[in-house]
Amino acid sequence: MGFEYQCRFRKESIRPTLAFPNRHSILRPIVRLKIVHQEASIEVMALIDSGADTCLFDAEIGEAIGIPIEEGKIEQTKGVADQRTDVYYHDVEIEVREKRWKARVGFVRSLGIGALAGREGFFTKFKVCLDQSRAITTLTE
Amino acid sequence: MRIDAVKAPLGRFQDKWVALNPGQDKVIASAKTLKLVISRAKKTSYKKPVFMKVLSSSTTISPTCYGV
Repeated sequence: MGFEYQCRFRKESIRPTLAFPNRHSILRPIVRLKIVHQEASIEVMALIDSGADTCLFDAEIGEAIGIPIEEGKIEQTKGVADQRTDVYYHDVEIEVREKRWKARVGFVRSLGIGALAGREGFFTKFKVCLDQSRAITTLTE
Repeated sequence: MRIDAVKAPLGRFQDKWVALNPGQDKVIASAKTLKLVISRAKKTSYKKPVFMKVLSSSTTISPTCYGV
């Protein structure tokens, strides 16, 4: 049998709004992954985001494992609200459980979200099933 | 099959970085910056913490990104 890994969505508190007055929590798919750079590594919880073209991490994460952020290959990225941000790309290794692979990932100053597991570098590695009704993410290879 | 989950209550750590124990059921350190939370986590007895940015409860997120 091939690689299969499951993790629960995280239930997070959210303030009710005019648009969703009865909503007090929200379920978000997150995954535990390790980012490896040379001999250093750090484990983080990343939001799985099929809408993100690439994997993005707060620059602090990269700095914690010795990556010279601003020496990376720069690209400007745009979000849905048209906000533009400079992203610095570096080649690292990503690990989920015992699976490790090479990926080019971006680092952003003040990402706000911390870590995003996007399509290039994450969805390219696994078949990703986000089961909102059961609140379970399944990764299969 | 084991199903991983973050079990630690994180409500009071909004907009902060936290370090979770390997079982992800306990916050062992928190701070406004990752650098500081790493430093605080090193002072605990936990060897392999997991780091996480806790989001604010006042906003939802729509982080679709593409190069321009």
